[in-house]
Amino acid sequence: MSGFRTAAIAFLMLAIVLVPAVTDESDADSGTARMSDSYILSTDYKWISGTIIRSDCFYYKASNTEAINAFEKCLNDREGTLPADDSGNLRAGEMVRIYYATKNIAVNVPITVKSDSEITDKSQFAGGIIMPYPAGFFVKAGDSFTIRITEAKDNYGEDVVCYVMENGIPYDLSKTYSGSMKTTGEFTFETDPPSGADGRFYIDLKYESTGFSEPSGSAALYAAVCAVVTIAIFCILAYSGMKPKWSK
Amino acid sequence: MSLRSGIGDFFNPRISGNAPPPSEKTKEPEPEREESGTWRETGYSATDEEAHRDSVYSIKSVLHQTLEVFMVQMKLFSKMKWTYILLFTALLIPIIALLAPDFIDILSTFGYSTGYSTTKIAGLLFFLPLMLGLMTSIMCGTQMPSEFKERTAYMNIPMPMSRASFFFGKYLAGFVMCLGIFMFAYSMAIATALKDYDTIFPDLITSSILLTLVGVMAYSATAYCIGCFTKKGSSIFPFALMSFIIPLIVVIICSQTDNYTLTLLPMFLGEAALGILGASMTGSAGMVILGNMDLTATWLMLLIGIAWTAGFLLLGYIRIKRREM
Repeated sequence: MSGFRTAAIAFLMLAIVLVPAVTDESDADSGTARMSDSYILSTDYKWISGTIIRSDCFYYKASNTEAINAFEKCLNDREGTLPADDSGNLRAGEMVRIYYATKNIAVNVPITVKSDSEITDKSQFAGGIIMPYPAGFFVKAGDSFTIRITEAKDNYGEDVVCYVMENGIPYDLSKTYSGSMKTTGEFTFETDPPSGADGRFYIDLKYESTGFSEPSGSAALYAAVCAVVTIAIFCILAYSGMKPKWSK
Repeated sequence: MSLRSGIGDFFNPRISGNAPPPSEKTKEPEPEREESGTWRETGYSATDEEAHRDSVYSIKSVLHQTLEVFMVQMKLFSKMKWTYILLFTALLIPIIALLAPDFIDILSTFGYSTGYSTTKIAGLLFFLPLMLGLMTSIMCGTQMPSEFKERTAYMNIPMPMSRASFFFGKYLAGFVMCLGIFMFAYSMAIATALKDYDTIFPDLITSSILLTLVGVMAYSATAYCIGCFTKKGSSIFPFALMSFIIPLIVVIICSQTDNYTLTLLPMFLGEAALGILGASMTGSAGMVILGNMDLTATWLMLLIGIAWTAGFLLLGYIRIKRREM
C-alpha cells in the first residue's frame, strides 16, 4: 500500500470519528418550557384480578388526551382482554414522559370459596398506587445547572410544591436552585405526597433552567462510525489471513 | 526530495531506499567486460542493470518490519477460535435486547434510567469493564510466551528485524484486534438503542469511546507485559489482576480514606466509560465506587492510561530486548 493511500485512509478514519463529535449541539440553554406539553404514561402497576396480572400499562404518546385515555383504558381492563402490549400502536409520537402521575385505585377482586355444603364469597378489595417516573433532567458530568419552577399545577389546577432534598433539608424549587454533577446523571426532584384516591394524575410544570442537556446527535451516524471502524479492522484480519506471504 | 516521495519512502521503502545512489564522480572506471567477469568462457554478457550490479540491498524500514509482524500476528488471530467467540459475545447485545427485552428492563431496577439514549446504551454495555479485562487478557496475555513456547521466536528474531518491531508489531495487532471487538460492541449497542431513540449525546459517546480505547490500550499493554515476564503466559492472571485484585484493593483504600483519587487509575476506565454515559452501576468489581468517581477529570484518566500503557510497554520491551536467545 502506498504511503499516500495509507495517509488518506487514516485521514478519512479520523474525519469519520471526529466530525460527529464537533457537530454536538446538545447543551441546553436557558429558557422556559411547559413540561406537560407531552407525556409518557408509564407505570409498574400490576393489575390483579383473580389470576390476571397486568403489568403492561405502558403507553407512550405525545398527545396528552389520547395517552390518558389509553392509560385509563388499560387500568379499567379488569378482565385483561386488552392485548399484552398495545403500546406499539400508541407510540405515534416521539418518546415523552409524564412528570408525575399518582392515582389510588381500589378494585374488588372476586374470590369464591366452594365447599361441599356452601359457596362463600370472599371477595376482597385490592388497592395500589400507580408509581410515576419522577421528574428528571439530564446533566452531563462537570456541568453546572440552575432550575426554578415558576409554576406547578396538577390536573385539577391546584398548586403543587416542588422541592429537592439537600442534606435532609427540603429546598423549595420556587427559588433558583443551582448545582453541579461529578458524574453524568439525572437531576430529580420531588413534590408533595399524593392527594389520595382519584387525586393528582399529572403535574404541569413551567420552569426556567440552565445547564440541562438534550440529545441532538444522530445515533445512526455513530452506529455507522463504529461499524466502519469495526469493518476496517476485520478487513485487515481477513487480508492478513489471505496473504500467503505472511504464512507462518 | 519531494514531500510525496518522502512519505512514500517512509511507508513503502524501496529495496535501495536506505542507501544513497552511487555518485557519478566517485564511480570507479569500469574494467573491460571480458576481463572483470567470470563469464568469458561461457560467452555470457550483461549490462550493470541486467546484472543488478548497481543495486544496494538493505533491510526494510522499522515501520515496514513492524507492519509485517503486525500482519503475521493478525493472521494468527484469524485462526484463533477466541476471536470469533468474543465477536459472538458482542453480537449477543442485540440478540438479548430483541429476544429478551425484559432482561434489559431488569437493569432499571439497578438504578438505570431508561429515559435517555445514552443510559440505555450504557445498560446494553453493562459488562464492558469486565470484558475489557477478559478479552485483552485472552488476546494479549499469551502472545509472547507462545512465540517462545512454539519456538517461532527463535526463527523470527535472528532474521534481519529489530526486536522493537517484533515486540511492538505483536502488541499493535493485539490492541487493534481488541479495539475491533469493542467497537463492534459499541455499534451493536447504539444500533439496538436506535430502536427507541433517534438522537444521542455525541460528546458523551465520543468520550465513552475514547475512554474505552485508552482502556483497551492500558489493559492489553498490562497483559502483554506480564506475558513477557512469564514462561507459559496466562489469560487469567492479568484479568484477575486488572479486574478484581487491584480494583478491590483500591476500593478498600478509597473507602477507608474517603479519598477517591485512585479511581483515576486505568482499572476504572471501563467504569468511567459507562459512567460518562449516565450508568449508575456496572457489571464489575469497580461498580461500588462508580458513584464516587469524579468523571469531570476524564482527560486526566486518559493521560494516566496512556502513561500506564507506555510504562508497561517499555518494561516489556526491555525484558524482550535483554532476553538471551
